[in-house]
Amino acid sequence: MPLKTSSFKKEMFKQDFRNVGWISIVYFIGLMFTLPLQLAMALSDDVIEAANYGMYPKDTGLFSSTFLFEIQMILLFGLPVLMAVFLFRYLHVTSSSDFVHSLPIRRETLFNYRLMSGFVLLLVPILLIGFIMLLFIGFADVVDFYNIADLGNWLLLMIIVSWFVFMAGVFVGTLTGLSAVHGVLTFILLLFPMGIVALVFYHISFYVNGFSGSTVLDQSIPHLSPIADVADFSSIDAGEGFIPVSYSVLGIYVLITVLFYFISRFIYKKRQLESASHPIAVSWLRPVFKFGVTFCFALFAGMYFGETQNTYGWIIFGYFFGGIFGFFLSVMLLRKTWRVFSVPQWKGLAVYGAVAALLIALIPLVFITYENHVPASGEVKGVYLGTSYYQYDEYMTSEENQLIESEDTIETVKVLHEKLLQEGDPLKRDGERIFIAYELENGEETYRSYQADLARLQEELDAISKTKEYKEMNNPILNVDIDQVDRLSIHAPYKGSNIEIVEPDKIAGFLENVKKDIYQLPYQRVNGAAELGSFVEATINGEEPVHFSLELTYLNTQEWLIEEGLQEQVMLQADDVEYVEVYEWQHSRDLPPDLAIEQMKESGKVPLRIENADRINEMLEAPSNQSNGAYLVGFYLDEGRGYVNPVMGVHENDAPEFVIEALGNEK
Amino acid sequence: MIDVCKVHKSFDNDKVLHEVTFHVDKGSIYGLLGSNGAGKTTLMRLVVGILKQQSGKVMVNEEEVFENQDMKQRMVFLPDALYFLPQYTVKHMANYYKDLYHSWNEERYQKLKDVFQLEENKKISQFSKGMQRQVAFWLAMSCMPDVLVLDEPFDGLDAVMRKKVRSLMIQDVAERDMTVLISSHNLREVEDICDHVGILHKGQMLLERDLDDLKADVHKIQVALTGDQEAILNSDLDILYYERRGSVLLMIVKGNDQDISAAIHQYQPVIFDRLPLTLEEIFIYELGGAGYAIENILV
Repeated sequence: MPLKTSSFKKEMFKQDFRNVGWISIVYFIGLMFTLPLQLAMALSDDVIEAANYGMYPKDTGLFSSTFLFEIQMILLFGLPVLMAVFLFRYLHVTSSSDFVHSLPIRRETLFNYRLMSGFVLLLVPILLIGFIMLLFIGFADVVDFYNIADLGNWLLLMIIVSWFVFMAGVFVGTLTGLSAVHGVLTFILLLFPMGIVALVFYHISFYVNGFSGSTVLDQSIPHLSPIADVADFSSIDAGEGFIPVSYSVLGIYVLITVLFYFISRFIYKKRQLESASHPIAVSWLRPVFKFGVTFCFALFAGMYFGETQNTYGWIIFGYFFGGIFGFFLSVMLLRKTWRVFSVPQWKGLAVYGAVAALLIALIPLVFITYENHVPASGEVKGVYLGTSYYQYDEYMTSEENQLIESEDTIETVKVLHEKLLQEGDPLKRDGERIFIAYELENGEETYRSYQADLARLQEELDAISKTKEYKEMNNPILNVDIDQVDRLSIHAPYKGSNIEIVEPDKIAGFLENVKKDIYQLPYQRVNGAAELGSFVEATINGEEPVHFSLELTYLNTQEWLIEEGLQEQVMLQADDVEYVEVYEWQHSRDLPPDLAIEQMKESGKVPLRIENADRINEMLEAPSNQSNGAYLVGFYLDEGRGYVNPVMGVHENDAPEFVIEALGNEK
Repeated sequence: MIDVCKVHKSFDNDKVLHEVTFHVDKGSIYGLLGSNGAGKTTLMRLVVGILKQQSGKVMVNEEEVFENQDMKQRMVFLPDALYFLPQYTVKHMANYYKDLYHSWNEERYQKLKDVFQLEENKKISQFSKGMQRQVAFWLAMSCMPDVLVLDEPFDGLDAVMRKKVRSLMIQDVAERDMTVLISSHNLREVEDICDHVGILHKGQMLLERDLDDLKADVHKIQVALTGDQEAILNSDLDILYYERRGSVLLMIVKGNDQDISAAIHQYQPVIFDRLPLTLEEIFIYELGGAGYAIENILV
């Protein structure tokens, strides 16, 4: 920074220290409490703690729970903003602004002095704590807590993020003229990129069938906000030298800090000082602010009503409600009075409404080619079919990342895709999710994410589920070499039993039957397992264990289990169930099944009671889940088991005939 | 020294200054007059380079003053609402100024301590309003500025202090040719120190006058004639205003002192007196219609 030593003005620093030195001191005391003090406490009760720290998973490093990571984050994001607010408060009060700017010092120089004060006052407490922690390494045994690499990373992150947040605060400070607004806007700025992208993508997904943006982004969206990015991690099992965000992200923060410096310096030099005490000091930014707030509130309310009601009518209502609310809120803020309901304001709102309505009408048109696009056969190199991007991402980073590559199977997926162009319904939030990823010959990837009623896709899904490749993609156990499996452990959660199989010939017998069964399964069974089944962990020589579920519908396997005399131990069967109660699940749908069934009982509804063993068996075999469905099924186990009675949701097309006949269907 | 040329300034959509032009000579004391909201403070904030005009030029010593560090070194601005750094004592403030102004004169500062008799180590916020204004003068004068800009400087000062401050200022003007720009809504407050005045009304400069010229140029006289009064009223004299009080004629006449005397003596007056004229009267009589507006503006 262009500071000539000859004209160095120490009184400026003195004044800044008198003004905001306390923030530096609070930062120091806060960090003192979270780091050295916590360490001293942990070291002194070594009997209990030391035992814990030898344990797995490890929770070490200076960002661990020992050092109160949450409080560190509050300090890290709170105090630099406070520093910016107080350091630049002189700009927001007319009398101090006039005083300072009448002095013989150029705005740029003044700005640099203030920044230097802020940077130094944030740096000093971090360095002091760093030094204290270094002393601990020298004089105490702290290897269980952190090492020198951890300390280096801690210093790096704290300094860069503190400066970055401070600089963001300074940037906002040059745009606003009110200190209260300054603080709030800084946090909004730090969260804004994440929030707006999420909101916009979420809304596009309401209108565009197959839109994959929101699901893809769900994974990477925290990276758009430093607050979410830094705070969203777990130090559990983080390993040595762990840092919450990568070095490259820290590099990006440094770049943005530099960018903020130049932009805010430019704005400051151009700033009209008479705008002190105006919420938005830069006049061209006021309409941007006004309509930005309106837009965000409209999207937010639209999302709320869309999520709760799942109809376009309510979404549009949300836009109206949120838009009007946001618009007047922003005008009130800009005018600093609540009496803003004048005719010109309504006109402004009407213009905004017209533009927004046009935008909403245009979105589906813009995406029309996107919606109807199915890659041509020649272009496709490989394809993935599953339920979510998350699943796809996991699969691709695992060792078994083989896509479907045979032409026939790709063709069957494309047939399904074509059908989804019609059958997919973005508002069918309780429908099943289908995720398709194409890897194209030119190296590009195409993603689509649909929600649809699987019953209407039966034919296409059956065609896919017959293919070997699809099965192998979704069932890692199919790719396992049986000879490599050392041990199988089968766990039946509702029976509370656990058995292990270690004999090689038995392992082979079991797995061969499982593979045979899986190759025969229909589509639903591949993605929607019955949660009443048992779980198997196959330990493989020198590799990650493979998990899969074991169900009553795996007929070959069940037969084998009976032959081996194991079925009794590992499967929940009709014999174990005294009776089953089935309710039509109409209200309290947002409750988990076990609570919902209690409400049903209290409301005096009469359930369908099943005591016949065959029918109980059918209920056990039906794919069920813990979150939703057309029917609520309570299984009441034989008395004296002492285990929880499972309550499940069953979708209409998964329910046995006799249930549908007895209770009627939902629609 | 100060040259303001066709300056426009608006805050958002409010026009505050419109085509304002005025000039202040080096070593002169210029009084900027105007009612509340006329734009005086805004004009002063432009002159000291706090604000930037939308168009026109604000020059001090033939240099644009906005963001001109060297020029601002030679200027001190005392605003209407005084501001001191929070929790600062006079001593702290003095150090602050000393650091910022190369021309800071410590000797002067020490000397003025005796003049103002204020505690140097007391927090300024604990002083009364009038004392705070004295502190501001104390600090400003110690900076030895070439240009001193004062917005409503005498508010809250008692008569003794007012006199003291005035003499300090005039002394600097006389000794080192300091230029002073003073704003006030009260003509009487500044008439005895200013040599020039300008009247700002609704963002425009209504008029500018040299007070010495003005005082030498306009006279209030009282005459009693034995003969016809009409003759004198119809003469060449530039009579701005007259009033008959019985046989006595009261006139405000513009022109050279000697010429007027000579002209009057032609009519052989029985009584011929000169009466003192206040600045306010001069404005009112000289400007006629516009003068009544001034009467409303300045009181």
